[in-house]
Amino acid sequence: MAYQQALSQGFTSCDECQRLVRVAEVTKRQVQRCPCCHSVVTVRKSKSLSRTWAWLLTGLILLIPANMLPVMEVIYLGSGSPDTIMSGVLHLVEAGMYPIAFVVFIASVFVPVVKLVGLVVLLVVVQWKLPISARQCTTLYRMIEFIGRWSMLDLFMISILVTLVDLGSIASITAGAGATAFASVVVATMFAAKTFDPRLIWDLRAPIYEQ
Amino acid sequence: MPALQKASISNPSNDREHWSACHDCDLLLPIHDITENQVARCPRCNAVLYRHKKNSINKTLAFSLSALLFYIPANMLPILTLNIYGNMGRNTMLNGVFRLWEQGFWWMALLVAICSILMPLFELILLLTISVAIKRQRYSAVLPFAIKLQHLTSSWAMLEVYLLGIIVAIVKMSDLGELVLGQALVCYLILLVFTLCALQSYDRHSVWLATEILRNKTRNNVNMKNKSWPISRL
Ligand SMILES: [Zn+2]
Repeated sequence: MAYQQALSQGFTSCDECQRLVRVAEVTKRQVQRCPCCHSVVTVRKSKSLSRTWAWLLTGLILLIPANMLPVMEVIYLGSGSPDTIMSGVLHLVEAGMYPIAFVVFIASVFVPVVKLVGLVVLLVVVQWKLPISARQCTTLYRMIEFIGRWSMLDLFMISILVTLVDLGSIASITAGAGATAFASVVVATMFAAKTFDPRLIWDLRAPIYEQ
Repeated sequence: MPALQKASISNPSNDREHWSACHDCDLLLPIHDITENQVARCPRCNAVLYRHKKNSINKTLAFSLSALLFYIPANMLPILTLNIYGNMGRNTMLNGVFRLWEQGFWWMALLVAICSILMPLFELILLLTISVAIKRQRYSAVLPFAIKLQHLTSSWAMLEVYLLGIIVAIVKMSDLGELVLGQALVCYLILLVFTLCALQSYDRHSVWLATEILRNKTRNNVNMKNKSWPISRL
């Protein structure tokens, strides 16, 4: 079987309902709408590269305060001991809770970094038209999309801990400024993954696929 | 080969309903009628194009309704209670958000509220609305809107990540005092399982097809016999 790229035949699929629509010629002020679900149909996600770069750079910059500033502070008898993301993981390692330390490390340190680096790789591949396996790039993109949400682990955990330890002036746990930055990193990377269009990778390849 | 290729080029314009474009690599592919529990994948990039889900609407309806029953207890009752020398610290899904807000971390409170409380609720309500509408074969303008909104909520509803948060919190706090698991933990787990089941049985692609058929039916009362296949997939 030989298959064609949809765009080269004047077709595209609606992002919302996946229906095949013929690409209509529209002026700058007009938009094309899907006949089935009435969503705006664009051949590729609009301004995909610049939007993804913007979210990505936001995420990269915020990653610094997210890791340097304390995400959580344990206040015991008036004196606080702040915890950054990494020191929280190290505390778990010291306490011998290796599996949980590993899970927290993966979700809070590894996943955001992998997401940001992976998206930079994809953007570079598309912009410099690098001859890297499009199939592998697509797999990388799917992985980035899938793992993103698990970074919320740290924020959920903090929201639980602040309510569990509340002994007034004796001991309490509060969130830290780093948590705000970290929350923003999660949001920025999720938007970055959403605005990237994997079809751009395949647009660099031949429009005919022979099986 | 050239004949085949020509066929694949000319066909979509005549018979667009039976062609699709891969959402990941934009390859033009014929839609095959797949049988039970089969998955149609893109031959080039291996993307899942559509899967056959048996009894999709009934299951979505049943699971989302059951999940909603457990939503309020899961959110209001204490999930964990920590007893430190007689001082009880109770955690419910809601009071974690309020506590963060009180401490001045409104942005984080908002995000936790959206991902663990609001979006899971919206998602269930929307799944219920959609499946009831299609089950009753009623078309209203709310239906397409609900399907689009559900698509939006699905990436922000993170109940399953919250479970990991609970587990880490349990491990971290277990040596600080006496940790009691609350009734809401059970409600939360049931809510989580039912939500995942509802999402697993929901098939957005065939819901859109059914919606279009329902709309055409209500609009001009046309006999849509030739389009009966998507309905049979539900
Ligand atoms: Zn594909």
